Amino acid sequence: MQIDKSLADGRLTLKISGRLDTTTAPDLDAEIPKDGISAILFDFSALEYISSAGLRVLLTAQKQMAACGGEMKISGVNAMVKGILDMTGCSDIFSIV
Amino acid sequence: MAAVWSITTQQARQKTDALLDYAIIDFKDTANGAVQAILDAKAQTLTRRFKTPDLADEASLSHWKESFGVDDVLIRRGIVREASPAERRDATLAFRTATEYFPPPHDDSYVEVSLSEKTLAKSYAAILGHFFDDWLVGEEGFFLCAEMPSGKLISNPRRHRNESSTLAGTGFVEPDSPPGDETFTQELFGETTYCRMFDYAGHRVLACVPESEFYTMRNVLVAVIGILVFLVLAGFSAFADRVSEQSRKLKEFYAAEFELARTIQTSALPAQLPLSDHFRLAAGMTSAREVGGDFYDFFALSETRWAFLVADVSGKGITAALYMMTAKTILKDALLAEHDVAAAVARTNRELCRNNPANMFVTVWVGVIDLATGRISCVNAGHNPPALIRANGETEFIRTRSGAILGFMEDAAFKPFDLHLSGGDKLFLYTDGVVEQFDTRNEAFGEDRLAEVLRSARGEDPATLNNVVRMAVSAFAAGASVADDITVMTFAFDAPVIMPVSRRFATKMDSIPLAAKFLEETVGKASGPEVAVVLDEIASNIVRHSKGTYFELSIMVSHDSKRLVFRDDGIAFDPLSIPAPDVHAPLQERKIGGLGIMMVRHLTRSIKYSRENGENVLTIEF
Repeated sequence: MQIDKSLADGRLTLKISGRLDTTTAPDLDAEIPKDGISAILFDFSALEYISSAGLRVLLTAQKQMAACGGEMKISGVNAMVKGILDMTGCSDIFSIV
Repeated sequence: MAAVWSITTQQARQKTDALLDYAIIDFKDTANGAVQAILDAKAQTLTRRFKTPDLADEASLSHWKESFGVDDVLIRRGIVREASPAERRDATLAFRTATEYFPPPHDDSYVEVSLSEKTLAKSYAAILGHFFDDWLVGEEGFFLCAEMPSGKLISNPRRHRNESSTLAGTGFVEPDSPPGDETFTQELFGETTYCRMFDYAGHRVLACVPESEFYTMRNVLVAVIGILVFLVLAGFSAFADRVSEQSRKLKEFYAAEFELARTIQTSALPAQLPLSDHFRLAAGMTSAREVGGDFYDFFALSETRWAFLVADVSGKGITAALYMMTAKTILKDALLAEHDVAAAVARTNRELCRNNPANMFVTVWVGVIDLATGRISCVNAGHNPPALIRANGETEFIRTRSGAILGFMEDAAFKPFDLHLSGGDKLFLYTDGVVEQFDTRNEAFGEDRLAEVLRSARGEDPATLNNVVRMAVSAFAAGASVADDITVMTFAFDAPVIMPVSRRFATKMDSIPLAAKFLEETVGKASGPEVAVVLDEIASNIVRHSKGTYFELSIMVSHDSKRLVFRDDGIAFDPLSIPAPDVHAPLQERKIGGLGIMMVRHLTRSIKYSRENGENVLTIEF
């Protein structure tokens, strides 16, 4: 997995390439500051797949944003990832654009 | 005891005379009957071929004269006088025609097939050699047949087989005066032997009973059974037809025997088609009449090696059926025992040669395919060339031959050759009944028509392909009689096997990317992300919760399915027992626990848990 990160005015953009799984999820988690962020945009256009470990990071981030009144968006979701988000009910929670 | 065995010379002589009388009658009946039965069958075949006398024109009569090796084929009208059994027995060379009436409404005409003396002498030579080689007179007696004037033996008792090749070499001394119908004694093979001598179709024949023979009525039974075996051996009901009431009973008896033999033969063929992800195979046999000698077989030699074969035993009837069963058993045993297919065929040939009193032979095409590579090691021992149908429709007959027919030359060698199949290729095996089926104009179905049918139906599954061929042959025959057994087998290679590969990992987080890499190397990236996600979920569960020391991943892939098996030595835990999480709960109440296994359930075809030998075993199919 590769993460391209940009942070401007408290808005964090993370472009993730490759796989978001048990091995790589902690790396992604580490890239997300626990405060001072008002918005997170995940660019999944180069994401191959996501496992439940990746979902955990997304849910944690979503909770963090909900707690501080920020927003979180996910873009570029491929069919495989969309399938997993739908299956796990995460599509109802996340804002997928 | 001595008293029991002490039979007076007079009694022994009487019984010996009776036994020799019987033997000579059997001999003549059998020899005449054999020639006659073959001729009768030819006449019968011709009435079926021609259907009506009008269709038997000059050209077709001369065609059949040639292909049957007879001297004349005629169409006649009127009534044929039947020869009496005694006339037949004594007629020897003079009895040389066979007749068969056409079916109604043409039953005032008949076909007459005849042999000249010269051809007949050849037929007799073959028959005497074949049938009387190991023919018992009583329990220990035998026939000696020698070509005259050379005195070369063409039949010889088994237990004296290698002692002499000429009559003189057996110890035979020409009697001072012709013995006529009298029994006389000779010192044969070093033993006093009671003999009767007669000339038959250019041969000197001696019916012999050694003095040591124990005379009982069993002798007579053995002789009678000999006739029965012959009747079946000839395989033609025509012979039995002619010999009145007693024969009719025999015929009924043998009709039941044939039925039994057919049942045995059919049940000897594998009924269950193999179930494999890598190939499909279908085979079938249609018997032409009574019991044929075709057979086929297929069986696994290992997880990735399968043998399949089609064979044809010469002849028809119970002898062919029994020989077929022997051949099938020996061939299977040899293939299971020998790693090399040519060695297996050579071994089969040796065993068939060693026990082949009726001089039967077998043609066989056998292939052993390695399902991992698609390579087939083949041996063709005198069999029809199979058709290889490539996925793109290219069809060719594989004409490579490996050696002679089986059962013929004991020391024959067989040269194997390889074929390579790719996914989608098919191999079609058959017996000569397919290509040698004639239509009503005496044209053969032939390889060109077969190739055409195979090309047009190449996309069908094996069973359908077989049926298409059979229907094409049957449509081609269009009412002409089905002359031979028809056996077809289609082997369709779908995809190579990838053998299961396993690797063991330590129960720690660092192992998970290693396991992912192992999976990718084995399955390839193209297999889709589902498998990788499932691996991630299961492996991470084991690493986090099992408290064991290792987990082992086995991967098995075929062209349309994948299987992962996880084994770990951790605490007994069935992940399938985890309740599904509430996927509609509000964000703050969302839990990750159970989400992974839920995903696994969704992404797989089936998932099974068991606890075996202290290991959790999770088997997952995609």
